[in-house]
Amino acid sequence: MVVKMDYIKKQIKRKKTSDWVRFFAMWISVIITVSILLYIVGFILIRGIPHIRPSLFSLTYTTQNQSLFPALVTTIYMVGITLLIAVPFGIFTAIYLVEYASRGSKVVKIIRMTTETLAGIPSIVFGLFGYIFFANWLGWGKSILAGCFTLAIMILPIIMRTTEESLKSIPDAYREGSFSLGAGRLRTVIRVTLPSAMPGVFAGIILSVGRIVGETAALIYTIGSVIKIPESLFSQGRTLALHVLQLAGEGHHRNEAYATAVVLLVVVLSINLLSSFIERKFKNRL
Amino acid sequence: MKQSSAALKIRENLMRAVFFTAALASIVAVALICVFLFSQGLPAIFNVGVSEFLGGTRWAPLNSSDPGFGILAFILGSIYVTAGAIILGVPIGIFSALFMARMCPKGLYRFIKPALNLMAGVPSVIYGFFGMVVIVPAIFEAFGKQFDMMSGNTMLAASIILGIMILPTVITIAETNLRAVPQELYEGAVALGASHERAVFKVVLPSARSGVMAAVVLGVGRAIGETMAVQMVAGNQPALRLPWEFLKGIRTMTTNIVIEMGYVEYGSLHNGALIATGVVLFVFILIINTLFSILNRDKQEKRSLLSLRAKRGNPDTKLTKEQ
Amino acid sequence: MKKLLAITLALMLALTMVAACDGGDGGNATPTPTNNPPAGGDNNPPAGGDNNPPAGGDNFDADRVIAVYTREDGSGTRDAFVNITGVGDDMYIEAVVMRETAQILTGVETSDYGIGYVSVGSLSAAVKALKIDGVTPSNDTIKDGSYALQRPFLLVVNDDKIDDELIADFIEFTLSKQGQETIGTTWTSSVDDQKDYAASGLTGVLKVGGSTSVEPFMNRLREAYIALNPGIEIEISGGGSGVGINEATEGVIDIGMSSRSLRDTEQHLNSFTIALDGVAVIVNKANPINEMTIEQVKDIFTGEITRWSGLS
Repeated sequence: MVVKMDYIKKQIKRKKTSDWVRFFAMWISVIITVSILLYIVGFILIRGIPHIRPSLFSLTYTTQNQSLFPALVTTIYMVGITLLIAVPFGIFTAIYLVEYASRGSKVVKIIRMTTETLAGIPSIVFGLFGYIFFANWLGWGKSILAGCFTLAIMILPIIMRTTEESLKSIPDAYREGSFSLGAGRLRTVIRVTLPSAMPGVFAGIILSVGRIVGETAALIYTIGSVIKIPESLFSQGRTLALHVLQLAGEGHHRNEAYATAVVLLVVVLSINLLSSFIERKFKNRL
Repeated sequence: MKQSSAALKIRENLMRAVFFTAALASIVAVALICVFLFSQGLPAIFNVGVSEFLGGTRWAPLNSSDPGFGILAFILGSIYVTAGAIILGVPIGIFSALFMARMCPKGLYRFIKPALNLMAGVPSVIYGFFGMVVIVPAIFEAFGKQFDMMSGNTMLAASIILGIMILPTVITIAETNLRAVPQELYEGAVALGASHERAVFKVVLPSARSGVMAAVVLGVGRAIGETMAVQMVAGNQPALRLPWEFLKGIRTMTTNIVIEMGYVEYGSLHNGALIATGVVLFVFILIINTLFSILNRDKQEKRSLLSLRAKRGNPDTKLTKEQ
Repeated sequence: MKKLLAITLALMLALTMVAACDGGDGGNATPTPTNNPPAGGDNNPPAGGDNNPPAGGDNFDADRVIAVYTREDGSGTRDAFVNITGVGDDMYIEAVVMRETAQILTGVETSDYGIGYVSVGSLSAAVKALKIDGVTPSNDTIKDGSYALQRPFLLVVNDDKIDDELIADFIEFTLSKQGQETIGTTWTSSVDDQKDYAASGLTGVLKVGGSTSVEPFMNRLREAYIALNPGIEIEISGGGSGVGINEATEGVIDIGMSSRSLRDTEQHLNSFTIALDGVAVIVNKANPINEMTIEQVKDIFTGEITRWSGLS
């Protein structure tokens, strides 16, 4: 005991001012970061929750009642359709890269390069492209479809990367075991490798969903701005995030803007929680 | 359940082709983007003249008598705002990452980590909203009178919001890399008499240098590409600014695109100029990423070479701090 | 000991931050305006007496810089404004650019020294509309032309859609008695010969988009039209006059809304004047000024006059 106290005292005595500076620098930084987060979330919640009323969830939006329900429905549609487009492409690409392609093949290098590029492009450039290509050149007009395809290209790298990581982490023993039992590569992939990699794949999908829900710049000129439940793939629509944007700009609907922002935050938070839950399951499995 | 080996082979090859075709999707996507953006943007740049476009300070596309298509103001705008975001966000981010990797009590960590994830997921609209109703008025309150400001819609507001937005990115990636530093390095430093803080700052941090740089680069990418949040707080004046004029409003490349894109006539020079702005943005990001991966690749090769030699017991190899 | 110190310091910091932010927020809280949809019916703004020289009101410091708010380049309101006031291409480069009518309102509402311009039909009670050259913007002064800052609301349709049954029917409704009724007192009717409209019973979807100034009017028209023809749906999007004209030309929408007259290059579109609207020059309610001349407005928006005290 005596030895310990001496040791500790020596430690503290040895601490020079530079050490204290570093010590506080780190603590202060973290406090600032956390405070900012708490402040922003708290701010939205405090301003928004009092204004949440059931009528905000009514089926239609009228000038008297700024319902956010159509936006919510549109967001759900968008998530579904975008995933439908992007997930198969992403998973298949990853499967090809991990299970089928030969090491160091040129194609693999190119695909890796293009995926990295896609991942770095700012969302407004996607929006620009979506407007020029899907809305105008292909003639779809501003529509759910144009928006979904634009978003699909945006999340493709995410799905691809996470699936690839996930597949890579499956030990070769699984595959070899399957082969030795007589299964072909395809069957191995479908019945053994992919199912084992599913949790990681889901994690990637959920990450993408988070991105989709929060996106505005890519959608603002591809999806239009009509605020109602979309009737067809070619209807215009407005997602929750776009709705908050619109309401935020309007001085008269500030309260509704806050309320909608709360709903948006809740959706994002749930997605995050779901993601970490799945991640934990993944870790336990292995 | 017998299957002829021929049928099996056909199925195998078919599926392989399917997977391969799907994999081409990302190549197709990038190719399409390049083709469409460049085919519409480049002619516009050449029409206006490369130096006039990139270096021109006057943006007045609708001026019937004397239109101007110079985007220098916006290029600088993007640079200033991103630089500000880096100055504000990166130090706090790195210090926070250091804290979380090396100094954080377990209980606190389990609270902060998910909080960071949430922060990363908050849509930019909400950050912009927050900036609009809190940061902009705050700046005006604080500096409005002294500096003769019109409003709080300034470069400073944009940099603050962007700095906040890149925090989660920088922190999570830097933290992961800091944690990956082998414990032996830290313990070695302490054994040599360094204090805890000293060991962390002078040994662990430099050792994770490339990973931390990666985090910063990703943060920069996010900051340059952010549109909506910036548009809501930056003022959007198409004016050329000097770096110390951060209390004035500004327009970046991204906000220029978003403000004007809706009403340009398809095929007009104005349209082309906006797409060209997108091209410039694209090229910017490509350059940053390429530079970074080149730097990284060299480091990786050097490092793996050194460790390989060390493993083989080559007496000439010294285990330096770089590793 | 070390830990205790750190934690106390941390708490203190956190507390000061919360306190500072709260204080700033409390004093500068964004005025939560009434929840009414843009009433804009107030065509008789609190008209003051004669031109009060900036007497530095209560807290109004006339030496402060004028915070100029303007719309983006594609806005019909901006177009009309710069043409009539003579600002033309010389908009003050320091003017803060806002993308929508509502953002200008918010800007001027929250800035004591702000000035901006919006559609008379979008006015809110939270801002003050100035008299221009002695004339108050109202239905009468717009109709007889004495309020100079005015522009037509147009519906534009491309040639290839002009024969469409649904589109023609809707336009007929808009120009009819029932359609023009929805104007109320908010805007000014320009249609002198208003016919009666009989429900057509057509079905389909109409896509309408464009001017954010015309949008409130279109919303009313839509509700009335659908009440008569329940089988029809109208999808309204905004974006500004430029967007409306552009998209009508490209066929992305069926009918474009514009709050300015068509330019020479846009004459391929068929246009229908559905109402008249004024552009109000607005200032904050704390501002003691109640009127200006067009010349003064022009000088402010070109940057010739930069402070409130500069108004003679």
